[in-house]
Amino acid sequence: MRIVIDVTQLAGWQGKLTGIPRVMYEVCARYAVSAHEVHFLGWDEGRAKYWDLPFDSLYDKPSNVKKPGQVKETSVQVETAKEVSSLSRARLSRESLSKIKHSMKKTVSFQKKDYGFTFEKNDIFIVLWGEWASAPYRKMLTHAVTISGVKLYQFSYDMLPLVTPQYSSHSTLSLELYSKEVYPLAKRIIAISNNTKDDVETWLKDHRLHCPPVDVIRLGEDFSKLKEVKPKIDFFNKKQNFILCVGTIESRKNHTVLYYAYKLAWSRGITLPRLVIVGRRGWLTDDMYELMTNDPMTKDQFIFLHDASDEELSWLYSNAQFTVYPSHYEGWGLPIAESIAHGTPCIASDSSSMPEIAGNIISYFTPTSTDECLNAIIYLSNDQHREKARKALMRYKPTTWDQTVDQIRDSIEGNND
Amino acid sequence: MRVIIDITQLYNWEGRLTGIPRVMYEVSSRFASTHNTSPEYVIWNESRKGFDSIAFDMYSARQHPKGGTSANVLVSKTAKVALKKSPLLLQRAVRKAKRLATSSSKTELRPFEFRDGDKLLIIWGEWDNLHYRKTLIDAATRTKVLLFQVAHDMLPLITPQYSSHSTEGLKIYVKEIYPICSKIISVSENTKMDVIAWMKAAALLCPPIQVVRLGENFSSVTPRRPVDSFFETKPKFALCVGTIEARKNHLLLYYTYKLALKRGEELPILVVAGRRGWLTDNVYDLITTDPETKDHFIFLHHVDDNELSWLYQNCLYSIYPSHYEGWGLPVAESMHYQTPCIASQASSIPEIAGDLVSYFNPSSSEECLEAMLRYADPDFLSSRKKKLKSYKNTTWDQTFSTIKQIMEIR
Repeated sequence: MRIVIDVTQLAGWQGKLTGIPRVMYEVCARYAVSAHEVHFLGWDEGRAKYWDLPFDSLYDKPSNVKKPGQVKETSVQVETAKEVSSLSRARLSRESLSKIKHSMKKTVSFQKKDYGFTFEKNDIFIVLWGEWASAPYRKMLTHAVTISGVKLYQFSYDMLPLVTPQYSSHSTLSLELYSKEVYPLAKRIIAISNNTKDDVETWLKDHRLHCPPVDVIRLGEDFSKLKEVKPKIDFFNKKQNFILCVGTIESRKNHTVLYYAYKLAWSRGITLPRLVIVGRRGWLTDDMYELMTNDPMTKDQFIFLHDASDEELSWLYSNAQFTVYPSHYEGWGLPIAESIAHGTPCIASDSSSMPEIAGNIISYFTPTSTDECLNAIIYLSNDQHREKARKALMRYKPTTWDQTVDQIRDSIEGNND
Repeated sequence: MRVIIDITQLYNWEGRLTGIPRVMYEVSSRFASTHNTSPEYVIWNESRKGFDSIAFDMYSARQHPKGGTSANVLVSKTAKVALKKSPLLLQRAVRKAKRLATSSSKTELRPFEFRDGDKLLIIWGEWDNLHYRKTLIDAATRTKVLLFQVAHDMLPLITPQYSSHSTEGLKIYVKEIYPICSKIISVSENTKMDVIAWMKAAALLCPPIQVVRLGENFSSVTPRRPVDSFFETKPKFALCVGTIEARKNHLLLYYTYKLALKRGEELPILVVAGRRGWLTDNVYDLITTDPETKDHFIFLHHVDDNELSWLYQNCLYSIYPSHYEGWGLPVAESMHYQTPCIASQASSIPEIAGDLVSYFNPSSSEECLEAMLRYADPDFLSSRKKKLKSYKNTTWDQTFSTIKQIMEIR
């Protein structure tokens, strides 16, 4: 049995391993030392062909990360699949290219067919992401399954652009085509949450397409603490209480409900702790950002940090009274797990995948209810309530990457497909 | 004694007459038609940095604008239509204009000179214009012109987040001009309070402020169903009137509808009548692309008064979630048409109809939803409708006569 893994986004990735490249890395690192024959394939859109890559060419480690083993200690910041996708559009770095060229010399004799790699019947083909927007890529996948007879295992992080197009900054067509053409061909689909599984099944059913079995895995979490650095902003020197909200400023993340909740509190004469908002400025929220930063009622209540480092973020998680995550929709929702990892209580939106992360260990509100949001904030602002919420976090059991990859291997190898 | 009315913004206005231009039109057109006062109309001439005299008949002004080439000062078609809607006023205005035209030279615009004892009514004001302010200061302090300034709201100062432009203009204008006014004419008690509070905080002398209630009747409208297939099936709908801008808080309605959907509650389709303003592209995009809500909102960006009156008469109720208003004409209009109204408990809005209107906190989607669900009950709705019979309409004639009283014009 051969294992073939599409590593396009990991190849040439530089800097911290976050998001989907992180998932790829963890999976590849474990398969690389397995007893199977494993191939790592990087898609070259220009040639419309794969490169067969050696494992150690996959990831351009920045100088401060020397060994693969140390990678585990970097903090995880899984942003949405979409964000990562746009990041990973970067071309392969020079270093990677030289490694690739080197590996090509070794494997050139091996390549007999169209796609730079000769698929064989019953190859286990794991696609951890997929080049949605590429028609030749989709064609290649179709060819690999229908002509070569590979067993395709397709990961699904979220169906966001299809389920909630209003939050997308770009066309939803490419994911739609990918889902239509590729998903039905998969042996199994591996979803990162039950909510994503439901979305995949519903969407395929609605489009009268075959839906392969969908397995759910749980993403790994790293609870190894980073060195904490206090952000250099005067506010943090005053040791004032604050609430933390982590996530790109984009409409899906629903900073709007926080703005309204703070206005509501103001109109009712209630004082809330300051809200520290960590996240770069994304799309479709200029208007909201303007309102939040100009409204005399609320502007002093919000502190925006657009470029917090991981060390600063870690400090913020540890020093916040609690965190709030009001997102309308997520494929998973890592800031919730991160908050728990720092022993900081979290109140979160009750929609999509978010309740799957910590169940009844944390509390929830409806993301469109200004009052539920405000009441949840008021509740946790009480010292006793917060202490109780803090204790509840002890029941949380983090998932290791070993467990995650075991679940993936179960899905792939444990079924008699 | 002469009465002088500054109609600069009306002269330059393009689009349907709403908000301040509407007030300007309704008031100044009535001045034109009274027999015992003969007002002078002036517009600001930026190239000359002074006021020009102009006949209220804007047709001829439009036909011969400053030598006949300048296009940006044209009175729009809509303004023309608006004038057409009051044929009586128009006739009088035309007659007067002809009289003026024969008595003066062919040029419509000629420099205007202030005289001692003139009463100048400023319904809006070129806040940002240094020379405009200078001219007013000169007129008031040297020529002893009596200034009557209408204060609509202190919005840019109190809620700068909703302004599309700098708030500096109004700030300077209020500082320089308000203290030298004979009287300030406020459109609501709330605006009066805002003006007094702001001037006090800035240590400025505040002249007497008198409140005038704005009219709410459309001059001679014929209700007409908007051309949209949605209205062909006699649907039940709620109505929200107002420019799509952040202050009007359409965002709350979006959240309220999403909240209702999540809870399995049904709300009527919402017809949103208003042109697209500033700072709300994101909200507009959200509402119109969200698969959950997009079929619940119908946007009409270009309704005229005839269509608007049809909408008021045929909706279940109107809803007005604005964060802040100087007055809140859509609430008054709803009352005028005996249409139940749910509105935000903010600024001047409760002054309009007291407990005839139901209120919610404009930052609370829960309160908004609760109010809408109460109005979903037909019995409750009809009981609210019955109560509206006690509402006393205000006509523009009444507004005009109050302004005359304030200005002490017979």
